[in-house]
Amino acid sequence: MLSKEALEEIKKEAISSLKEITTEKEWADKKAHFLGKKGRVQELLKHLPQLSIEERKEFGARINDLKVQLEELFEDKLSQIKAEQKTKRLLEKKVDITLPGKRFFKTGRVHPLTRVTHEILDIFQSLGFEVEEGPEIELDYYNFEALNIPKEHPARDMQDTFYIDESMLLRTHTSPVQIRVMEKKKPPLMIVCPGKVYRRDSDVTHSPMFHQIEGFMVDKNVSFSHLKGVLTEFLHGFFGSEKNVRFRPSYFPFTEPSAEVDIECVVCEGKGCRICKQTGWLEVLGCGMIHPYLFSVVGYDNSLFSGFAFGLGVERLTMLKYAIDDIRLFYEGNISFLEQL
Amino acid sequence: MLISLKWLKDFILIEESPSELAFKLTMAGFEVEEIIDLKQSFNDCVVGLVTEVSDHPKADKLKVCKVSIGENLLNIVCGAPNVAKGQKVVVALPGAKLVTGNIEKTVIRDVESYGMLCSEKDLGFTASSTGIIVLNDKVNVGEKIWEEAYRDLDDLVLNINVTPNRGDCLSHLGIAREVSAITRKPLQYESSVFNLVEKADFVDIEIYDPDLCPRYTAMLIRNAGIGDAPDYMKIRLFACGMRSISNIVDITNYVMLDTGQPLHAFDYEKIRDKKIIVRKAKPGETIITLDGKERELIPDDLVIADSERAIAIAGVMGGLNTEVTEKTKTILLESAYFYPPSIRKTAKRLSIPSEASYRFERGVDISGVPNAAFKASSLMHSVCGGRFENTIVDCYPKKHRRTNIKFFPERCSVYLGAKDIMKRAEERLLSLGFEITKKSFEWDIIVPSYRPDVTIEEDVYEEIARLGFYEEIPPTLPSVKIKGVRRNNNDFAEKLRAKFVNFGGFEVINYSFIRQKELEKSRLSDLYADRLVYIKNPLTDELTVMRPSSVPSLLSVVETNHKRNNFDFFIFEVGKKYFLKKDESKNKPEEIKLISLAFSGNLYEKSWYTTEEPYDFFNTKGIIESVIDDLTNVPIEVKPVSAENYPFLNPASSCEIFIDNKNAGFLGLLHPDVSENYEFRRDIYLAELDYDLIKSLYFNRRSYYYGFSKFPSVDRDITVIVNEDLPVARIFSVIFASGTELLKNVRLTDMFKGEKIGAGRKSLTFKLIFQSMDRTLNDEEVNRENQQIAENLIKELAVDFPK
Repeated sequence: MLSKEALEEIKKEAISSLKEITTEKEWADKKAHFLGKKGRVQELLKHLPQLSIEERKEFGARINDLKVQLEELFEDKLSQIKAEQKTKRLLEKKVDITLPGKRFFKTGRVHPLTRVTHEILDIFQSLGFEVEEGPEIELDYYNFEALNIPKEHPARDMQDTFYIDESMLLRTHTSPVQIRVMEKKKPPLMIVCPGKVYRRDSDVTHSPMFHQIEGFMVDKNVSFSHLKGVLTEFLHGFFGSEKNVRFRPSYFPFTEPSAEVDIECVVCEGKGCRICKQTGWLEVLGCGMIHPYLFSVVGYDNSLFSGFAFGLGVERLTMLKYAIDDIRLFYEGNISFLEQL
Repeated sequence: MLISLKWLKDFILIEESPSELAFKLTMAGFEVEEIIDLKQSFNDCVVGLVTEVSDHPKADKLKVCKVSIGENLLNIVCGAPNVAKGQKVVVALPGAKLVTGNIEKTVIRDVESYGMLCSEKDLGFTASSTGIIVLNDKVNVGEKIWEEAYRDLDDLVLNINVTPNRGDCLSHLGIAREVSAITRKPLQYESSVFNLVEKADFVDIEIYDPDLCPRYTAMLIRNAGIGDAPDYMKIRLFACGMRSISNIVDITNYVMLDTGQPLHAFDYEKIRDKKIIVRKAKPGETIITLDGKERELIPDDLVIADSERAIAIAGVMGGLNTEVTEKTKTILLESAYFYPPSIRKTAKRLSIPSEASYRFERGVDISGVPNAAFKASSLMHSVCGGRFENTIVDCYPKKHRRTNIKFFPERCSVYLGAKDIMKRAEERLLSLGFEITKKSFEWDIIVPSYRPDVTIEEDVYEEIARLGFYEEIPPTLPSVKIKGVRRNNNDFAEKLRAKFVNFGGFEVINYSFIRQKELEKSRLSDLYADRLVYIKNPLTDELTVMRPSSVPSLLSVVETNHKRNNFDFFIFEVGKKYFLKKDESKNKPEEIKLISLAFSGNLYEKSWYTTEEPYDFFNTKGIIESVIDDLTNVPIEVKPVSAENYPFLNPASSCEIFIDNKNAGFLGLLHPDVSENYEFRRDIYLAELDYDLIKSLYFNRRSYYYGFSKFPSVDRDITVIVNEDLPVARIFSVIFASGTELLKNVRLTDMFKGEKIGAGRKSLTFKLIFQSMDRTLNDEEVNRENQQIAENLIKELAVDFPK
């Protein structure tokens, strides 16, 4: 019998059975059951001929209405099932993102002295300097004589030297590279040379082997003012542009005038502390205008060219930068030290 | 150089505070390293009154004293022979830190002692003493000794770092001159009046080598009473780090610290024939110096001699044979100028560095030579009652020529890059004692005799600039010619290190010198026996030889880490090795730049995703292959190592590395014997690579784009069974040689050994990849290729195929 109740009943049944459906297959079966060619809705149509024309019209419209409603319900369910399946597929790949990553190589470290050397060279290269190197086993001539430090010169006391024989030694500074480069090349020159140097000295701040960076510039009309400009630029680049820099007269046989350069203490910011011996200043490099003697040694025309040179100790800057209090730590190769930096 | 502020004020009025003065000196080139408050170390030294002296119950030579220091009465045990009731004495209280030691409350043979009664030696004033100090009766009991008894201790001492060029400033006069130039206050000192004569009855001076001794002066002081120096002199010497010896010696030292001129006093009666000869030492000549040591002289040494023998080593130390003693009546005082390098050579050779030689080495003021002698004689008169005539015998065969420098103001202002500075140039040079004659574009400058360091125009620039503390020179950047260059060295060095760091490498830096025994320990001594570079004067007896290989250095780093329980790591170093290159004529030291690697223990440890993996030949080789490939795009080749050339490696697990057909180093397993020497409990792999070779390949990197095929590739697997010891490289090369241009790549995909294929055999599976640039390959042609390769493998290597 066709009745409003019967139609309602079918709708209710459909809604309740949709609730239980989880897969596409179940969904297709149920859809056939209600909306298929032999489904419940089709079955209702079979009863139509038995009705009056009026009733036929009325129930025809109702059945159609039911069909549309059910189709909508089924479509909604299908999208719901598909969405659930997609979510499930994603969840199959769920991981604990906090597990440590798989690392097939540990991470090593560049030595702190290398890192600082490269930082320094980087700044000078950005200013237009080029990198050169020289030998560590050096002739007395290049290490001393050509640098205006003849035999029996008191300045030889400033650098206690390791000798190989009468004429050969381990270079005590990177300055011989100045002579070697000037012998080979003509001005204009802007050169920096990093390298190992050696002095007979050993305690917590002195090592028999350490690293220096030498730099020099030769051209027409190079002045002390340029020396101040370039080194101030470097120190600001390395330590920060807020740091004060001061130049104070000093002595090196191979420069004239000579200067030591101090920077405001990086630890106490100039207030005075143990590191700067209460002075508020840290001595960071030595420099000066290249002594005319050096030009005469390499055959440059003194009246035409002038230049400046500077030298700095990499260990000292590194110790300041990383708060390292014993220079010997650099050469022990202890992984526990290296991995901290 | 220690400079007493009180002493300095003898020469110049100082209105600045000590720290201001220190700052100004520092900024003018005389770095004041420290300002020492001299009295500070005497704050626990007070005046005491000995109220009672009794014998020590248990020691004959000791006395027990009751000493009043004002409110308190102290019990003090004293061993001095001269202690007596009623004396005012110096009491060092417990807590006092004297140069001779720290004072504590002690018990001396069951008697408590609350301090010490001091002698001058205890306080550091004299080198020796016979008893405790007995003070003037007027000083107040309980006062600190610097308040009244030793008022000169109430002084500040500047520790000034005088650079080697400024020998003139190794004296109070010298520093006063600088202060005068800086503060623009005049120097105050009395000019002396004396006669210089070439000859006198009392001495006959002869200089054999005027180059080594251009000036020698002598004075005679009669009836000098040898004894104690006055307190002010003792304290001033103490302030400058010296000790009082006797009034005569002290006066020579005092005048040296005052003027910078070292002096020497001879006992006149001991000089034979009134003769002073300045000459070079004779071969085999010896002299016993004041310190009692016999010195063998060589003809390079300059000596002062009388008619028969050397009586002093010139400028270095006097001889015992003419020493001034208590019995001395008449003194011959020497003041001279010696050639600096000669003095330095002798002082160095004999290792007798002295205050005198230190000054002679740096050059004393040749014009001031007689003035210093006169000043000393005057003191010998006032202090010791000696008599002298205002006559100085002056033997001056090589007259000083004043240095004349042409100075161009225009050039100076360009050189310094500061125009304004020139306004003050003249004033500054005059304040430093230079004389100036101005011409239109140039000045003639005459340098004062005490400034031998100023010889060229640039030296004058420095004098002008430094008195402005360099602050007047503005910092400016030069205009430079810009250049487009590859940042060659640095760029490669950084990249290379970054590669190894990515593979877990820790960079280390090792000393270039090693211990000889490390060579034996690492079995390297025979290999380099006659090619080692030795250091003549090593720091210790151990670090004597420049390393001929990085191996000993790396092994000692491995050892260090194993001792600290770090076993699993990879370290690398970019450094040099040093050895003698055998040349036809002579052995020349060579230095070769290296990349050295050492691998210890595990590449990675057990983790939640893997079991542990030790470093082995193949993963270390893989790291090297990968780095070289990336940097150079050139494959590495390997050859077996000979035990002879690599005694420190196990040849079964080691190779020599070739890149671009050049020997580029080695990789290998540490020899078990070496491992045993170091007591290593892990396998260690070592490698060395030629830095410069890899660098040059990096900068000449050869890569070309050769297109790629649009057509699919086809794979074929081929499995062969061969003898275990057949190198895989041989199979690869046969495969490549047999394939046509269609063979694109070959990979070894599997390898196994086992009973299934028989003992001493291994099975290898290769994946061959074929591809054509212009067509899709059909099975037939690929099979043909494959067949050809298989046939060649049989023909050339007699391989088997699995059944």
